[in-house]
Amino acid sequence: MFKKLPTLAGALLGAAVFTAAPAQAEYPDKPIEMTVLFGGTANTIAQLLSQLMTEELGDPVVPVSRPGGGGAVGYAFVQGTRPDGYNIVWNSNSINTSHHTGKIPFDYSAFEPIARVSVETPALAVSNDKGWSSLGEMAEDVKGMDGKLKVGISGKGSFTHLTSAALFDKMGISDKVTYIPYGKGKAPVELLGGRIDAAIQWPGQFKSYADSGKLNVLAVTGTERVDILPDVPTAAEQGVDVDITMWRGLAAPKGTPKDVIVTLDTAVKKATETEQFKDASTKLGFSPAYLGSEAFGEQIAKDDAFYGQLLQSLGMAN
Amino acid sequence: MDLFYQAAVASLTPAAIGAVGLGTLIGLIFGSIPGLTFTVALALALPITFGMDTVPAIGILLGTYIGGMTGGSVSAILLGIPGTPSSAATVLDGYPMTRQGRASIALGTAVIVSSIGGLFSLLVMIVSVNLVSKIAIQFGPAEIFALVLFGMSTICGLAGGSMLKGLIAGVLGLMIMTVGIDAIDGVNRMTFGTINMMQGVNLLVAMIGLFAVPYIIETFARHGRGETETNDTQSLRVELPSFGLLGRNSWLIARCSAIGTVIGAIPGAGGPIAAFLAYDNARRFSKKPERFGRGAIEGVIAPETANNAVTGGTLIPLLSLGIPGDPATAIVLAGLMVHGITPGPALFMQSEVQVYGIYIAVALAYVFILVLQLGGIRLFVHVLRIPPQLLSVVILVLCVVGAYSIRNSVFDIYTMAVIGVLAYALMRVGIPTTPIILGMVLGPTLENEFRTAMALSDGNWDIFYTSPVALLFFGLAALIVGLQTLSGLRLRKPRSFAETSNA
Amino acid sequence: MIRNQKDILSGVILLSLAIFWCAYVVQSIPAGTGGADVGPRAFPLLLGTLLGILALGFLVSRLFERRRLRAETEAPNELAAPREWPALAMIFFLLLAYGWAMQKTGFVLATAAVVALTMILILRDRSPVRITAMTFGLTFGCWLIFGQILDIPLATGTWISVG
Repeated sequence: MFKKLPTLAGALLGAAVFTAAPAQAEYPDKPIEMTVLFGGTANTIAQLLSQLMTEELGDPVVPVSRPGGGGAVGYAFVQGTRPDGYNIVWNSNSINTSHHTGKIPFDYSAFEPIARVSVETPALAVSNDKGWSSLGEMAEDVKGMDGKLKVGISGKGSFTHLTSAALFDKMGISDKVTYIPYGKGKAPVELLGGRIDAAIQWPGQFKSYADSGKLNVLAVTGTERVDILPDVPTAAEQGVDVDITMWRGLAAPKGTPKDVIVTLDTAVKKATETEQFKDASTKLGFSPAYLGSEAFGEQIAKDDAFYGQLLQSLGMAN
Repeated sequence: MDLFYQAAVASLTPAAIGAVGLGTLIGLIFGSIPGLTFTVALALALPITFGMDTVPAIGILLGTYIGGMTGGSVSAILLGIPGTPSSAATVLDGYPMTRQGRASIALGTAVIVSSIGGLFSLLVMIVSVNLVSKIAIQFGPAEIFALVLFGMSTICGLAGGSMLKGLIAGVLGLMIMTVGIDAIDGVNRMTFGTINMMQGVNLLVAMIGLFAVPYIIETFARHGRGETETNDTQSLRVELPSFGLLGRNSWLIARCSAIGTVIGAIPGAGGPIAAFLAYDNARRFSKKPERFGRGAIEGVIAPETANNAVTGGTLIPLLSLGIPGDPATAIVLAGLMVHGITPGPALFMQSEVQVYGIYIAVALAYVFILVLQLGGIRLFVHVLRIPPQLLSVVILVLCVVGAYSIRNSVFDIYTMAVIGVLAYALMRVGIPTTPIILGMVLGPTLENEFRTAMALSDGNWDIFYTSPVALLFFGLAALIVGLQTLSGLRLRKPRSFAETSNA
Repeated sequence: MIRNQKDILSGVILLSLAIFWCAYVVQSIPAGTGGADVGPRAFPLLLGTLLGILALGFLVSRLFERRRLRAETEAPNELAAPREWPALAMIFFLLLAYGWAMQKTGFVLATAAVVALTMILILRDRSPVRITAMTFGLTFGCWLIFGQILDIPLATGTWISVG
């Protein structure tokens, strides 16, 4: 908003003086549309990233929100655009899950990876009155209890559901768990209200509750601890072998020229190295995790197999 | 008090005050243009706050949020097209007032009671944030389901002439909202195998279709018949509500402020429910309920007080529990977090100064609203001087811009067109549109909370009748339906007699 | 057509909608497993059934009333003078065309074309000054306020794009 005003004033002033357009313009020579699939943190990171990339590229990178269908609408839109680098998508693991649950008729190979930007690590929180302080204690208690453990998730097939399923499977308590699907962001309150026993959500949501001692955050599911909750050990540290994180990055439609990808990749790299980006990451609860085009592509392919299998085992694959 | 002084020093710098003013202005503009809403405004305002200091950044966001909430009443009153879902109830009496040439009174009253409602809720928030957030925690899926069902029961009151037609409209509204991906199981519903249908019907898109498209069709058709102006512009003059008018309605304003604050504080409820409940409440306890829907000033006061009281109410779970009540507050939440303010129980222990700063920003925003909007009325009413057929062309473009910009989806323009034409057809056969909106607002919450509650109780229905809060709301809902049926039966005889004798 | 026949027609349409809805729901949405899992089908099916019952009730009440009213004089003829229907159809197709054109030629050209068409075809305005003023004024105003000052991302065209 308003950021075009200076250019607009300039254009109006310069309108009198006719300037010939450069014959062969170098990419980018017009605004690049970055399709954003989700609101919340995803949208905030995208807006920040696009601002920083604009500074790198000179031409504006405009975040355009196309939510709906669990990302399907936005993926389909970008997949259908001309592969010239002016339409890119702010993607995530949802490219894998959307394909395997049958939401989109194409998979990750319809896109060229540009670069991975960030990683978010889910965290497991339990209500205080359970008295559990580690995954081991929790697993032991749950195995011996009557009835089932009520675990809050954000809907069947959502990322928090998949993470929960994988984690509880490795803890050996998957048959003692029942999932309660909630709308977004409700889990901490439901834990406080005592209606559920545990929930997997994003660290930013638990931060304030953990600080005030109202909830116990037992573990994060990545291989490294997260900055926003530095005292919470990883699941692997506690002997439960899981490594699930949600990456976010950029991709362009298949067939986008190599040099365009390189230009964008370089801009992303520089953007993720800025102080402003690092500062925002601690506050919002994600980790900057730049990965170049090729390595990013390999990760997507590896993840695709993993989530395909996980969804299969949950009976949700299509 | 020392902390409060610190907060005041930080929040009352010219830059901070200016930021609140700018935010309020942006919100007002987006809110008052039919088709554009404060959710879009907030999404666009967020990036410009990245590079700012914390206090002005929060000022812009809160100002936009509050300005947008109040701005919705402008087009609701002047054109009969609500600027936001929360102002849909304002149309019922606000628009008839405009047609009687009393637009400026309606607009003025709306601004003043909005500010009163908003400041009331701010006060409640300051005094009792801990208590209210404790109550909000008690509202689980079963309780919210009961509350929403209670909200649904007001459909009977909004149905107008025929209860049957009102119910049909309500069910149609509920049905529209099941299209798309089911939030709980992630299953496609009624999508006919297309990806575009998976995004479902957005409430705002449907609302533009329901209100604006029939307005455009109506004006064009009237123009085609050679009829002219129906608004009474001859007597159009800027006249503000008197203190006497506000004084007479002080008890109503107090009641509606309370309704708005409470509904706002319950996560998952929100502005539209509060506005409709307040409207229903005002009519039910009015001495002359028959004036409602024909330009009763109480019908403007009630929803406008309540939907702004929601702003303070929503900030309670947002700040104390970190739960955003709707997409708009979710963006405010993201903005707070970017600037290092993590809402939740720890906020009130760690960053009291920031909390006071937020209070001051909210209060300032309402001061700006009073100044900007009361001043703006002089400008707004001139909209009515534009020939209606030309105004309709402008509205047509604005609606398309609005429907598109909500999700940057051309498919949403098609959705708006289809819903608009169907809405017009329904109106022609006497099916009211207001219950459709109510059904659309409440439908998703109703279904999802019910399903979550059943999952929680492991399929046991006792979750609904063992909770006293849920029982209370079920009881109220039954009471309203009962009363309505009774008065409907009593009215039926003389009316059908009159109908046959007139025919 | 008397008012009653219009009611009966709309009753029949609503009833068929309800039947179609329920059939499609049963065919396309998986049921829940029962008990704790209500499933995604239950709610739409319930709504479809409700609409069916309400529409049927409406229809029956009108048919019943019709017998009583048969001898009465006709109500004012509303559907027989359908002045609104051309406007309705034109606006519907105009909106669809607007959306489609926005995708192909971008916001600016689509808006100019639609405004000009509305002025000429629907409003039957014959004043070149007014048509030009509305077309350029509205298009430029929206482009300036929304696209430039408020920075809302307006649609860009896939064929050509101006602005």
